[in-house]
Amino acid sequence: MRRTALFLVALMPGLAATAPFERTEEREPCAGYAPLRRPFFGDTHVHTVLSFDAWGQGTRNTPRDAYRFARGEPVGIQPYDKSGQPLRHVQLRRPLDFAVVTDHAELLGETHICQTPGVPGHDSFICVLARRWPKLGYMIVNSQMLDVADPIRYGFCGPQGRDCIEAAAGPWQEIQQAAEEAYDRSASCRFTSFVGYEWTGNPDSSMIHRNVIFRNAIVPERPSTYIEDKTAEGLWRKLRSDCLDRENGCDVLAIPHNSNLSAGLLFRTETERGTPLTREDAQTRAQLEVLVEVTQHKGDSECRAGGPTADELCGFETLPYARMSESVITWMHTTPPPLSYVREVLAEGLLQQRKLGVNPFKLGLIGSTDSHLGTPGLVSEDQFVGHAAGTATSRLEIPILPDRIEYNPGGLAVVWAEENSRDALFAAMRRRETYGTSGPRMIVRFFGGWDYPENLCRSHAFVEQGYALGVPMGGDLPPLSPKEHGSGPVFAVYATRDPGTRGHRGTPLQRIQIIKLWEEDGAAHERIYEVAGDPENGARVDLATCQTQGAEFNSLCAVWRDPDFDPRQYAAYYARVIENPSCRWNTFVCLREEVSCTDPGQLASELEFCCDPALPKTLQERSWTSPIWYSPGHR
Amino acid sequence: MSPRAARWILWISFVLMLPVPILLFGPGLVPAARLIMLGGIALAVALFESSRGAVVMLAGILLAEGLLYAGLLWFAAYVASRGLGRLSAKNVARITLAVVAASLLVTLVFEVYRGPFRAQSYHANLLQIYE
Repeated sequence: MRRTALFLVALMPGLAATAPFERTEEREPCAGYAPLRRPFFGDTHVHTVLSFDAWGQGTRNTPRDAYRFARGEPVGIQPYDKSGQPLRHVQLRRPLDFAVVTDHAELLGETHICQTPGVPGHDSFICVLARRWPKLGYMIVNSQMLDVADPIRYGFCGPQGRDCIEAAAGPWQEIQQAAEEAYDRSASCRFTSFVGYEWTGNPDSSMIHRNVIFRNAIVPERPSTYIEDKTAEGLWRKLRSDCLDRENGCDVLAIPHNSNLSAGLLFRTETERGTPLTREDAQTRAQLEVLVEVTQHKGDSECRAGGPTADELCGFETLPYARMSESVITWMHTTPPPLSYVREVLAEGLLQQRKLGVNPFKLGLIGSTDSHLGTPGLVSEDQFVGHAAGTATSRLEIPILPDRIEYNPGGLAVVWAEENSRDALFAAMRRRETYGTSGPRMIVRFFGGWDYPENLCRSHAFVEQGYALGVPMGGDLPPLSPKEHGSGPVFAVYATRDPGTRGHRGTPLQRIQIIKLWEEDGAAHERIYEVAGDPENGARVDLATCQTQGAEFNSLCAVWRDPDFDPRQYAAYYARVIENPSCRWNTFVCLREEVSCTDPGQLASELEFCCDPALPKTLQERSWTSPIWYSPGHR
Repeated sequence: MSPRAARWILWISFVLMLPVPILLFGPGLVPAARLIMLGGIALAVALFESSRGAVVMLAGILLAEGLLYAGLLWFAAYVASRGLGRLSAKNVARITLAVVAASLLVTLVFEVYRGPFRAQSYHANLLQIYE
């Protein structure tokens, strides 16, 4: 068996041909090198005290603290007492394999100036405002610097904002040093950190944010900011000129997020000049943006509730508004316009590919948190402590409700790589061999090809054959041979439940679906196929204890051939793995507070949500694989 | 003391000391004067730094909230002074000053305010809420 496996590994086109990744840095080789790749769990979206908004909400954790936390150590979070001691402590039940601190590039310098006594500008009106009335300062500065189409720096930043741009060098160095210190360059390869930042464009309160992640320690002198580079194209130009074109070993990816709050602007089919995308534009985008963050604290972005297929699972952690400015008052809520959800964007990519010959939206999927507490990977529903100091008072006192009720604990990025090193993980991200989860650490394999045997799920060589006879998640289906012309592609998908930890068992699986997107006659289409498990398995949750009950699957596997395949149509397929129902974070809060809804009138106002019948008490956690694409021209 | 003077004194003390709920950007309980002060700060940013973004709207909301409460408190002071009008001037003065003194005492000793905009501690007394 072992010999067969080794033979298959040697035959694998996907592994052998890529050979398997280029080493761009000096480090010890990893002892745990796995040619068939392992899943590494991480968080690519984390803010610390260096972000103006996190600081304004009372966060004190630094990038070093965030990495300590990711590696499994406890950290304190706000509120702090008068002696500066945190009143809350949090710790991951399982450390992460990797993390990226992505503080907002905008205002890095301003934040440093306002935090550092004696620095010119420290006593400016804006800095005094930010220190004395942090919430007001946060609201004003965020709205003036990020929520406008044409931001300019404050007067205390000097001519052309030079003082603040210069001041950003300090925190940028701190980010790099913290990443370097946290990175395990020894053979044990326990933890990987990347240098990164968030480019935070927010025109008219529409999020067009990107997390920028560098492959290794070779990074630009300073990050690109929305204040200087006001469009996504501007960011890409800067990433090219400051990194990719330098030919000094610098390599970079940009990961868009929160398309759900972008009002359709994150994935535009126009350029910054208002002209339709050209082939070159699409290529630039496809080169730099190969992943999208499908879920995080501020909602899930997979698909539109009530979309074309009436997919009942699309209402998962969906925010009821199209941009953050609408969140304040219910009557301001609007419906997100087209291209606000990743599924719509993936489908649009197929239409663009038909038109341009290049798919500008060829995006693999990941999840992350967007923690503004410096707490990467804190995704368990029962451990949710909020996005930041989310409620008005949690900066100052321990809140009952940790954050807005529509927020969630966020998700994780999972990367299939040979080892836990920067080069291996980055190469995996670039080839999109990734998936996102809404928190649980379920393990998902997804392969596509033409020749998978029907009994592959019973084979011990599932993975070997998966690579040998096709491509993993994120890839393009191999060329279609004349023999296969009459039959559709075959997909092999395998998932195992999150085993959980001692005292916190993971939730069993319920089913696996494959979502097919395709273009036909100039329009995008989607269809959902149930391929494994049982949506009617009767699983449920005891809301008095949050114990799950009913039928359960520890693992699921399927080999599925597309019965509706048309070789003339561009198509993309991704797998969605669904857990049995479990308690949402708000239910854990209500249990902790021992709320009884027999007499709701007696409830404290902060706990009224516990007895709100409109609020979901449970959820079905899930994961989404990167798609596998089919192109008619790919022969 | 005339009822008119009593009305002014009561109104000023209400505006400076009576905790009122923050309607937007709360929850919180602060004096109306605090809302007006925060609105004024936001307005100052708009005037002296930049009027971009939502700063003018923010200033407007805080000022409107504060002024709305100030108006309601004026009405409350008016009703109270009408009630006091039946008493002698000396008694009007005594009662008015007693109300002000008691309010001062309570708000200075106890943390009756809830200030979400503060840098420290959500709970605050009169001196702390104006820090």
